[in-house]
Amino acid sequence: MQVLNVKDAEKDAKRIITETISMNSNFDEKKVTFNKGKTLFVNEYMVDPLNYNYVYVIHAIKSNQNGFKVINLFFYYIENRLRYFYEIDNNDERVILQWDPAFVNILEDKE
Amino acid sequence: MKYTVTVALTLLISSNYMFSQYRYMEDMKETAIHIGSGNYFYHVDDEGKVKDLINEIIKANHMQHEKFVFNKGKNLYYSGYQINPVDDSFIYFIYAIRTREGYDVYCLYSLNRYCYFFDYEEGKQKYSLIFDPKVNNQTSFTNLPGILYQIEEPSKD
Repeated sequence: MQVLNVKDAEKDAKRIITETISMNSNFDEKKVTFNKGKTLFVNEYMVDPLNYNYVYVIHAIKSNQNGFKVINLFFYYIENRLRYFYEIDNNDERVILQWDPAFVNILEDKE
Repeated sequence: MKYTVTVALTLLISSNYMFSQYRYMEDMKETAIHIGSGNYFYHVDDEGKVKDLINEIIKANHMQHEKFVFNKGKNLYYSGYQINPVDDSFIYFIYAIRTREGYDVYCLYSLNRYCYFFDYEEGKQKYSLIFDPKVNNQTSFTNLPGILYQIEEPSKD
């Protein structure tokens, strides 16, 4: 998606993600967080409630491409195991995108 | 004086450019899809183009490398890494994976830490693509094959 205005890109990304989610009833669209103005616009994971061996992943990542501001949308359906995607720069910090089911289990236990 | 300053500035800028992250290659025949700064991937149609692309990337980034091992006809056609020779807290990683139509060639610049990339299948066997700094410590571009994933046989008891 190539646009000149970042706000337009965020709006379009949000629309595409919402549409995709509403077509796949397993994912709850209310649980998706849109990080306005951030490089990592969306970073969502959801274990398939019908098959715990698989996980749905949505990434929306901003970048510059040939002078254009773009948002790349990634929709994955992958095995529910540790997975290292990639790292991105978000202002001064380096954000590691990875899925670790063990880490999520710890968080759930805490809750 | 002016000349010295110009040379110093040029060297500083070019060294940063070359060694911080992957160089952006405007002359590349294929179009890169950027994922944040320093990470991108290309989509190409066949194995021959993957080969050309990887050679082009390595050459453009002036990387030392061993002989590439391309896995003809396999799902993971190529994977390799290099620890950044001037900053060993980062690694360069390239893998080419077969998709439904053609191949995706990922070029990643990551922290030098344990990276479990993904699992993949070759025939009936399952492999994992993992970078482990305890084992992988080369500062020139080195092939990194997947690790055969041992599936435990169910107990007969």
